[in-house]
Amino acid sequence: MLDLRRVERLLSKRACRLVGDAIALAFFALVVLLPTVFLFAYVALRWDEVRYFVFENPVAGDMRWRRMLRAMGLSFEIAALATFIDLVVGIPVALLLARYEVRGKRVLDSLVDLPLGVPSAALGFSLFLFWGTSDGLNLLTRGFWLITLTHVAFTLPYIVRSSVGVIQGVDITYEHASRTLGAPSFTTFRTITAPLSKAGIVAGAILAFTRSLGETGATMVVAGIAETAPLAVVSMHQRRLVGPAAFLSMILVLVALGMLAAIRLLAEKVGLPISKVWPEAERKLSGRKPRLVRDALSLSFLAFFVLLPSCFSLPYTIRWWSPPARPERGVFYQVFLAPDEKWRALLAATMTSLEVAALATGINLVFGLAMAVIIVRRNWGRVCSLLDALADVPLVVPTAALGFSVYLFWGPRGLGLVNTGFWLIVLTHVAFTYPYAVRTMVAALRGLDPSLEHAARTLGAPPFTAFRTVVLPLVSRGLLASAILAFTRSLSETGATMVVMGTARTVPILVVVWSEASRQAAAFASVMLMAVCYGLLLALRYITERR
Amino acid sequence: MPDVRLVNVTRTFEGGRIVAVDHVNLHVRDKEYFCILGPSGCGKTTLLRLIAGILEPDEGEIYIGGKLMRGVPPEDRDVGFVFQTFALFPHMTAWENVTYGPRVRGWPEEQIERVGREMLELVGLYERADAYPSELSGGMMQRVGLARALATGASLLLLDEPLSALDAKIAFELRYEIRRLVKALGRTAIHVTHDQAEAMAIADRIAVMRKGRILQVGTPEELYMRPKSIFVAHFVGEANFLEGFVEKVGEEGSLIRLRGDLAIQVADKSQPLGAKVVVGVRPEVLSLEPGHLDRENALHGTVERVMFEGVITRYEVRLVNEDQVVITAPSMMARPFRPGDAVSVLMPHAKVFVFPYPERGLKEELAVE
Repeated sequence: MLDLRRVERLLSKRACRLVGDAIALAFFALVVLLPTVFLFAYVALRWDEVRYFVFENPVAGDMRWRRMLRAMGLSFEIAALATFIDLVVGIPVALLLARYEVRGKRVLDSLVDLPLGVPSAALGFSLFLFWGTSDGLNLLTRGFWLITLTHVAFTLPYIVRSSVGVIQGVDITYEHASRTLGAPSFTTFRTITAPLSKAGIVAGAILAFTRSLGETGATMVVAGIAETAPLAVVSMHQRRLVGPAAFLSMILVLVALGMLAAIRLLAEKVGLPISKVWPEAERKLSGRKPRLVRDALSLSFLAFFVLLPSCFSLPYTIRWWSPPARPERGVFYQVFLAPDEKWRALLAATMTSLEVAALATGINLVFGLAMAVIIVRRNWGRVCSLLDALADVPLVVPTAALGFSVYLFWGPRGLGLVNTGFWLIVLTHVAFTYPYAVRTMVAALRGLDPSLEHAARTLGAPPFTAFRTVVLPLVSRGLLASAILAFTRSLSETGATMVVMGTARTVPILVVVWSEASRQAAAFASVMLMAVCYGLLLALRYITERR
Repeated sequence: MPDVRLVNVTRTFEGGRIVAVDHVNLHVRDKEYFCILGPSGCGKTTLLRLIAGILEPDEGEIYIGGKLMRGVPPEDRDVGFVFQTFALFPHMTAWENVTYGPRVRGWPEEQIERVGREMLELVGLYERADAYPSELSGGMMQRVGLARALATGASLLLLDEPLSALDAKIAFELRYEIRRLVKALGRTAIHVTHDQAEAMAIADRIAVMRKGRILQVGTPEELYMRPKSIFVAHFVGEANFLEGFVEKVGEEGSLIRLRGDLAIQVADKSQPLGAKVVVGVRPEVLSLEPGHLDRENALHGTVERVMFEGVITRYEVRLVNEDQVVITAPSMMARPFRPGDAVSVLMPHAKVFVFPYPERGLKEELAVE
């Protein structure tokens, strides 16, 4: 019989540990990092092809390059505007959630996350129904403003969530100290709370900016004829313009990496003027009235521009479920009774989505945990912080570019091992959900008192046993949280999937495809996807808050 | 002038389930150094925050200098607050911390300079003005915290466990320094602590607090010599408690029958005949004699433990009725008793407190948590 103690003692041996670490690192390099940045190699190796198609085409000249610049410009404009709106609306909401005791705060707290739980394609479709159709307000057509509003809707939670986190992380005693020293609440926020939480808020803003820059699924639904950079990647890929697509993806990745570096550098440096004080004006701003007005404005923006539009496909589906006058125009008929049998496609796509998400999550749980242990527990000095930073890379790479890069790496033009379809989707999803898994587990491991493990060791447990019996149970909630996060991200991804899917289909893809062909079916698929994702997100909150 | 008056102040948390401060009435006089003493969780910090305006009371009123404070935010109350965790702004130097109050009040520049310098010199840290909090030791940080609280000229200083995050030796020095500064500047101070020795050493008067209520207010001597309740006798200083009932009340006191048929004669006659009582007596009031003496108020027992503690030696004696008492004596004068020795514990007539037996039992009454 296998003796567990002897096995664990063996596993604790230095050699075993080294092999384990090596596997974790090799996985990270081969499945996550290299495919993500393979673009660079491709562009360098096939520079002639890129130049031919992008800059010096005998037919089009540098028209493609100018089109890329236009797309990049549009992406930056939208990202900057959306981030600005996010900050203006998000910080008051974050302050409200972090510092004030108001009725309905818990409800507000979970509602803010709603757009995070709504897959972006479904979100884009909901916003389109709300703003652009006669079932909603019919105020905006597809294009710049609708894209901007959509991006605000799905980036706002990042700003609010990260700001609430950092503001709560600022010891409230500092604010009490400031108040007793004579500073009214506005001055206190400006001179104490804001400088102390600035790094986190800036990081949140940059994250929102990069998410907006790289978003594909929702944008595709609401863009109309406007073309953002990720949309250009997808469309060039679809027209087999591999060189140009690779080139544009590379630029997107470079910008994203630049942003990531900026998070780490800039956040420390941005200064706020704290030595000057304007007692009169700030006292007025601290009054009850300005605060109420501010809260009312930001909350109504949240309600009417973010929350309501985000889930508008739900009332739409209910209203058009089966209109008695023309049942063949209803959702029920379109999905279940129409001759093209959309429900079959939906069922197949649902199975594919769930299988991909489950596989990606499972793989990342194992390898992500191994990586998190390396980052937190190994004394490799700077290597650990480098790995920590590298693990975040897929987080900021626009998913369309990432999908394209993964396709180039594994596909016929790279290693030639995996062709487009189910397994390539899985590999892509593993790559971009990896950081979510690692990030959460690193946080969980860091939160654990190392002396607990030391205690287990002094009591006679070899390292592996100590890890299994003490560390693992204590971080199990962190594991579950990271699993749910990775699962929902995978379930709702569009851009990358679109590039690597071949003939396979996931639910978000169906939403995008059907948003043109059949609104009723798209609405139904959206609602279904939203229900699953938001449900999982609520479960996540429940798990993480119970600690 | 800042006397502080609390009238029926109540504050609850979690929708009334936790009563942190329960109908407190209190008057702190102008220029007084006042301590609020109590075990952790007794509501003393909440009380201080109510006075500062960081929290608002559910019921009752707070007056500072005769002015009603309802609805007045902390920045308008003109108080200085010193925090247990120092709460020095980590992104500001010692200088910027100390001058923060004057700056947010919009004082003229030269006055800010002058006050900043004065205050840092007062706490002996002017040469560390440009240091960030992370570069200072705990004692230095709390000195800066004190200078910051004093810099606005607030005549009422509120100190929330200002010494409990410091090393014992530093805390010991700093407690006298704080009192000296408060007295020199003519401020009123309310100092919250769980350390009875600290409160006894520096307070003009002390309020003992427990479970949101104030049990007794008085000078340190009054609390020690004449505690009004079992808890105060127990928490301020140290005391032995023996259960019994009043057997006889006469001219010169009462006879109390303890468990196991022991009896003592005490001067106190506050409790009626037949009442169930608890007798409290401080360890230094008791004395030990070798052998089982046949005298009034000589309780027979056996020495169980002898603990040499430097200045004093502590004896634990198991009485014949199984009650345990602690006796302390100055080490240099103590007789060499050993565990197992048969002794008599001599109980004086006076300096013994007799309390009615508490409704919820003695154990509950003595619980500090």
